[in-house]
Amino acid sequence: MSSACDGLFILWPFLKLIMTQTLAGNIALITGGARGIGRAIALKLGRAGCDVAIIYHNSHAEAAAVCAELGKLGRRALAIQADVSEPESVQEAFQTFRAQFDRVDFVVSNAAIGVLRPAMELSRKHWRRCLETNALALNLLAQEAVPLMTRGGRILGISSLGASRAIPQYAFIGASKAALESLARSLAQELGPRGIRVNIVSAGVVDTDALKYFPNREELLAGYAARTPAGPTLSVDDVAAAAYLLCLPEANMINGHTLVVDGGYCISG
Amino acid sequence: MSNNAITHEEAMAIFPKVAELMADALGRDVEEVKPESSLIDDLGAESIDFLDIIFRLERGFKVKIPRGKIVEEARGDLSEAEFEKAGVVTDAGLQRLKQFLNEVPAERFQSPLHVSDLPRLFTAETFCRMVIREQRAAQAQAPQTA
Repeated sequence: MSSACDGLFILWPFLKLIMTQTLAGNIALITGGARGIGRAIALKLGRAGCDVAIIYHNSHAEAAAVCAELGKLGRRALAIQADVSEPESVQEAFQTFRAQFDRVDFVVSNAAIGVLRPAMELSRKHWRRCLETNALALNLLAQEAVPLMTRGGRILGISSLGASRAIPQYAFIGASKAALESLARSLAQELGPRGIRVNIVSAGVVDTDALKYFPNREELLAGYAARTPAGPTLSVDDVAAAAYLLCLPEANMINGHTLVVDGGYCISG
Repeated sequence: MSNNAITHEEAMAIFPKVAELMADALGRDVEEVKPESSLIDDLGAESIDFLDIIFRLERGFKVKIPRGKIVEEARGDLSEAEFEKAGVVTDAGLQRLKQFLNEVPAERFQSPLHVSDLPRLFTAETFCRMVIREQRAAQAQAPQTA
């Protein structure tokens, strides 16, 4: 008995590792994966056992750093530069991806762009940039990824509370997130019979680099802290954890859903 | 590496391709893009366009241009405190800028110059020079083959 216990004790670090690698053998692709929420998702899925490709726009050093971290975890990692709003660029990115991986299991459309101005000052150019990067990209990724989801898969979009709430200066970003959530429901319906689930993670106020561009950053964070029962803060890891949950086999019947990760901000007040 | 090491002729050698990429990004006719055009004041570029322009230049010339690279290089050896005070470029900073951005017409350097207005100085030729600097840096870092 005691020798069996000793054996378990010795093996515990390895058992723990195996038990935490709940997604071992899967391959994930995350856009905007060099920084912020995307980086946290890449590392979360990497720690859960996935090989990971990230798509990034201009953050070369940060993308290389994420790949180095994934490499230390023993994962295959690949960084691909692309503009997710451009069909040709997404196609090129998948050519690069296919040279390294023969299938994909999880795709996370996280990359986003924004123009923070009142709606009355926004132009068609701003509309196109926001809508194409934040919403259309999900469709472009799905079109390339689905043929590679040979064992079924999960497609996730990262949204924000601005999809359903009016946030000052956020008009087109909010509209793009609403479009993203709606598109995810359509894709969920279309791809469900192929074993592919499409869901959205909608995050509350997370203090990422993106938030630094908000003129009222401090006010947003303070308001969030004051109104959030599970607050005061929401981290990129909290959002990554929700993305991870939606990738688990147990989430197989969750489809076309928007999972709000905000510590209860929305239900309060 | 100093901007002076790059001649106007060298910059002009790549200008047609730079102009084409910029025109595509900004939805302009390529003829509208002149070497001395200020991207913001003459071509109507916004911060969101700079992201796109940099991406196109990176892909078009196979170089890597990290975020904030021009401002960082323009500052040169000056510390942040020597370069700017409370968001305004110091005299030393302005002198350094005029030297580094010598392709920018002198009358565009106004004093006081706010750091947030620095991108207004950038011309199409500024980006040609940046591409050449990055090409040279990449060549310098490339492993030497026997």
